[in-house]
Amino acid sequence: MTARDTVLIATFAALTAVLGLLPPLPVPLVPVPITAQTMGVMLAGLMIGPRRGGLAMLLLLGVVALGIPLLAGGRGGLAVFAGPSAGYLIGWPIGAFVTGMLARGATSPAPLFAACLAGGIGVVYACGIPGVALISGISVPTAALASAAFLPGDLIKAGVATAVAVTLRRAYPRLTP
Amino acid sequence: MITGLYIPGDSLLHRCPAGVKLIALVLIGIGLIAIDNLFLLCALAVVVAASYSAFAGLGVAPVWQATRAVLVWLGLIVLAQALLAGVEAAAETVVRLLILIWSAALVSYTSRLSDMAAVLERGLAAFKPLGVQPEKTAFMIALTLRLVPAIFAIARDVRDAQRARGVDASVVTAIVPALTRIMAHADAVSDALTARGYERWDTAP
Repeated sequence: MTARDTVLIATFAALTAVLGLLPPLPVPLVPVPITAQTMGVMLAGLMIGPRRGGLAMLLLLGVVALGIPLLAGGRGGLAVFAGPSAGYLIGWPIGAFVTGMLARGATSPAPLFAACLAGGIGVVYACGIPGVALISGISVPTAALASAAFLPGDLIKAGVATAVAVTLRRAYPRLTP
Repeated sequence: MITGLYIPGDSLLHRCPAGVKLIALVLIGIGLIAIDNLFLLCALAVVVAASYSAFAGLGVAPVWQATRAVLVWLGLIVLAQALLAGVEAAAETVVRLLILIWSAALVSYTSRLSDMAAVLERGLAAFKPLGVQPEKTAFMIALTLRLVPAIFAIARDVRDAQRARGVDASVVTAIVPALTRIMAHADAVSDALTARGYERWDTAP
């Protein structure tokens, strides 16, 4: 691992933490406030590739587990891994990795958006929904229904992440993973 | 500056080694699977909540702080469980969850970041044959903690600059210029690390 890899991994871990510190955006018709934090999962996959993107999310979760409240809403510590949303957190590194894999070599918006949908939403929900079902003792379909509340916000984030990645790859060509 | 969840103190739990507390937490997690008596679970929950005061000297405020983070989830669970599986099943799930969350939070409240990181580093040493470098992992954790305020400052600068020019500063319009500067910052940091021989850290004992 080069110095550049190390710094990029730490940078995207920290960036995802900062996205969670920003005030949540109210989205019409959705009862839960939407934080920008999960956009970090998509951005890490798109901007620094599957391996470094996945490691960045793993690093963030490690720092959170050590007792630093870097998750949206000032949550952190070991308790977040015992709570119902633990599955989603476990989905972050895998989601960033899958986003990065699918986005490899893509430069136009459509495949990048598809990568965000599959990795940043599909994989994260696939880990999160069974986690909610397991810890809360409710059925998987019920858990899926509850998670649907986050879908509009996550679709917006996938769109923003795609737009950012397209623009930034043009502004900063050295980045292409 | 970022502050951790650690609350300074000199209680029994504060002095207990972080590794011991983590092992105890894992044992509680495993033990909870075996208990399905609601009365026993409630008694255990009271014991855990009481140990905040009795063994950690923290009082009740941190118990509420740990609970507040999952309050929405608890409401959803009660709603879904009570309708589908009955009130008793709902109570059992909620109490079991509270025991686990309170115990986990208690470990975080009474363990210093440096002690937790030391346990992690020792644990990672077992994976050395797989190419994991515990020293570099510890360095990356420190680097992340330093980069959070740095990136936050960059984001604030960009937003302030846009406001000064009369641009309606939303997250979306600010994120591209902010990321460009964040990437340039990352380049500067990695150049500085390379100049200080970071790549040769592998060979350090």
